[in-house]
Amino acid sequence: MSFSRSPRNSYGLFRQGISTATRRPRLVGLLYGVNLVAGFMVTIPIYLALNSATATTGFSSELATQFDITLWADVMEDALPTLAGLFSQRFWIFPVVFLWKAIASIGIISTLYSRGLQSFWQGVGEYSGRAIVLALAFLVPVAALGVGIAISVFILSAIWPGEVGEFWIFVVFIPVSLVIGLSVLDLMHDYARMELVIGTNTVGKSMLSGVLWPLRHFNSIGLYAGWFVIALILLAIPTMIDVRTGGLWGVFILQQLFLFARSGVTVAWFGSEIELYDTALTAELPAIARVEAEPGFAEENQL
Amino acid sequence: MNTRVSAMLKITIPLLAAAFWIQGANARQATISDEPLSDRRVAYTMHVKLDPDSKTVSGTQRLTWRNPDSVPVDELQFHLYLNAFKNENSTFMKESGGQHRGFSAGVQESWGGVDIMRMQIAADPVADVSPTLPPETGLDLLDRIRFIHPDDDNELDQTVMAVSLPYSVQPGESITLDFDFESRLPEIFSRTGWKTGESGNPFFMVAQWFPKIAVYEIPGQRYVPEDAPKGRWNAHQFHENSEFYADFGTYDVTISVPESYVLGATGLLESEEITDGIRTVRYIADDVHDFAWTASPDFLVYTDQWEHVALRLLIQPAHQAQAQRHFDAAKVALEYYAEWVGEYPYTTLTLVDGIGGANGMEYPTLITCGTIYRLPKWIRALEIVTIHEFGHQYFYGLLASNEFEEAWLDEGVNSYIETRLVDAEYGPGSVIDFAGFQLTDTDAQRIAYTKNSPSRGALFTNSWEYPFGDYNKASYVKPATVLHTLERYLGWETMQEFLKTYYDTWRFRHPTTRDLQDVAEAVSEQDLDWFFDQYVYGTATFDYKIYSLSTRRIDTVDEDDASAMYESHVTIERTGDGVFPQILRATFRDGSEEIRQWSGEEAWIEMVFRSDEPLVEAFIDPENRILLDTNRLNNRRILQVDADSSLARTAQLRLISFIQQLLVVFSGIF
Repeated sequence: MSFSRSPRNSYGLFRQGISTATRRPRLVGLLYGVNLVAGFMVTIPIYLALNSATATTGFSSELATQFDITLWADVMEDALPTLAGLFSQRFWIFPVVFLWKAIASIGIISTLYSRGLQSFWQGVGEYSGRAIVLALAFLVPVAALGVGIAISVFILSAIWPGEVGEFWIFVVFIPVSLVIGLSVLDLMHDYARMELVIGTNTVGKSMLSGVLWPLRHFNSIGLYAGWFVIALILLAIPTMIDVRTGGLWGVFILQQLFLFARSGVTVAWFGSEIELYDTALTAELPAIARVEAEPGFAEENQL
Repeated sequence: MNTRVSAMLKITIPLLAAAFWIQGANARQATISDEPLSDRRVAYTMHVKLDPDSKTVSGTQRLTWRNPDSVPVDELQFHLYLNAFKNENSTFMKESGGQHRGFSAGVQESWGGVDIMRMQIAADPVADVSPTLPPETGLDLLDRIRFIHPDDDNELDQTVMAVSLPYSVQPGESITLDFDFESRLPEIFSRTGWKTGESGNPFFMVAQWFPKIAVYEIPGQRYVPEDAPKGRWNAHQFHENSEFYADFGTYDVTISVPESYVLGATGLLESEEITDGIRTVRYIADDVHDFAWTASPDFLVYTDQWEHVALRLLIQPAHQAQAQRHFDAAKVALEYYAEWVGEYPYTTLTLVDGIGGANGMEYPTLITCGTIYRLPKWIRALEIVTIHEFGHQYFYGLLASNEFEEAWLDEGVNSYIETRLVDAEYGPGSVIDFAGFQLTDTDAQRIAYTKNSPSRGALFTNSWEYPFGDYNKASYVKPATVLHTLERYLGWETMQEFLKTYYDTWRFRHPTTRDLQDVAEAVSEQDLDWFFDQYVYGTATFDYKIYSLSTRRIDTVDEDDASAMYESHVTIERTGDGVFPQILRATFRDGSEEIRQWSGEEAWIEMVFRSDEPLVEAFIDPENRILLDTNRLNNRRILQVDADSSLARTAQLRLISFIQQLLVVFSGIF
């Protein structure tokens, strides 16, 4: 196992990712559109239940613009049974999202790495079965992470009893551990998918390679962290808009613009990671093989 | 905040500090009055010592009790509240199952209780403590003790004891008793006892800890008939859902604790000295009906002043960043209660930041507040608890209603003032104010009543007799909602006059629900039986709603109104057994309005409007004055053709974005 540092600098990788996303608007649109449809479908029951409870009460517009908990308590009393029933019929959306994420990632990698020679759906068709198995396999380390955090909390609580300890354990340690742990697993999962599609490895080898990837290529961590921060900001802004501004449709459209941008980040993020992956692999090839090798993703997409 | 007395300071220059305090304290008194404020039927003098290792408080108690009746009394009754924690056979433990407000009883070694080793009529009431007498003198009372259980048939409960006297106490005369007693403190899960703090040091909240004489009610007092031949003892066992009732008097309590302990207590610090590693403090309290104290080596001490009241805060080290929040809340409470209810007559107020189940409790001039580490400012739990517990100084402390029998007169009336105060001081987000979510105290209490089986639990009920755990609802949130509704019915000016009159008339006199209603009726000059019978003594609830609304163009000209072109019908329905006068506001297409009143007595009513514009909205209680209405949403109705989907559309669009964000996060995890 070699521990090489990838040659491309972070700035170049980010530029490459952004360039990739701007050249794939339909891909971005697909990701955004699927998310929008899912959001719309989940919220149909809410519209129906609230409309039934409030449309003829005269309080509808008042409640739409200002919060009144006593009225909301009445609304919930009226609408909750309907909502609960309708929501339970929408739970299928979550496993579907899981599957979609698994196959969409594969599709994105396939189409980006092939420079568009292979369509998103061709990649999905070719790799989705193994991608789903890989995603399911990654649930094992996710579960292990949960167990690890639970054990850590148990030990920390014994070492640091009392409310000060509880605060730092439950308000700081657990959320931070979860975010860092899940992010690391997500990073590993990304490169495992690349191993699956680009490296054409088996699921097992891809997973192992993905898990080891951040250890072999430290700059993959920095790249992930950079995109993570950008993605987080783009995800947080819609919430802040919602709180701080009025105007229903204007806010909604503004939120959707940011969410569209967030989908663009997903494509750009993969673009950067594929660039890093390709550059790292190229750097690891013997010199003679490198000369004879076809131009890779990195060279093809030089800005 | 003026002074912080650090632990180091207390250790290095204790004598200087003590001398300073004594000098200052001697110039002050426990109340602002030179004359007794209450009838002072009892006087306690105690010398006790805390043993932190055995978790016991032991010492002597001298009690002088004056017979207020016009006939001799030959039996005394006492509360031994700590015996509620003696074993699992007490009524308290049976009712609570060892659980109270989310806290649980400890292991077997954590039991508490109070043992009386000596109880005798003082041979020399002038001396500090009488010498131990041989039983044959006839003044020893130990053999005359028997435990009684006035509330249930639990013969194993030992929280109330009766003592037959060898001779009667004549009308107006006093009897002085000497006790040797030891109180074993339980591990705190309900108000009193000890708990180990984060540092490993113990915290003690010593409350309901001494043999305490019950209240002897004379004819004409509370519910004893005027023509009764004699008065009666009013004593109740310690229940899961009951607080306390006692008579006013004076307390002179000397407490010894290890030198490193910081101590706070009811009343005024009279003296403090340290000898051989023992800190001995003496507190005096006048015109109070209980005495509680707390001690811990961990307390940080802060002091402040509000007009005539010396504020002292004993706070856990982890919470010291919130010291100012305690003082700010206490001062807000002092100001508002003085303005709305009456003057706080005591010169001290001690705020205690205790541990666990000790918090959120009131004792005369001492309250336990409670917070958590790094409590955000947008959650005003600390402020609300501090204000609420201070408010008890009036309804539990100064008015001193019987909390066993009429808990709502303390908890409920206080909750009403608390909600009004908190909302007035902190505004629309008085309880929680975060990211656009705002919750007021009044709304929180209203929902807690209207959405929690509102037809169960009358305010006027013995506190241990609520089935289904309705004590909290019927004693706190429902009375607050009832009184807010009464305020809106009578008007705030009348309500304020009622509160002030009630306080001025009944302080130090143990008022009843009947007394409170009498004052309300006298001040408002209205018969309020209809209100009190339904919502205080009874369990009436109601939901008035617009059942239907229709309007149509009419062809024939109205004989009474030639311009009438539309006839509109509004049907109001009353569900529930409660009745409340209603106001209907009818709004027409051109924005004009018509107000109609209805007694609300019938099950339903149809109102007909003839006008030159169609009726577009019917709205009962448009100013939101009747908080007892269990559903406000159906108070208002518009025409079907004007159906408005604003809320549903807004909620859906906002949630679409939220769900999209959620799915992005969710997909990031996998």
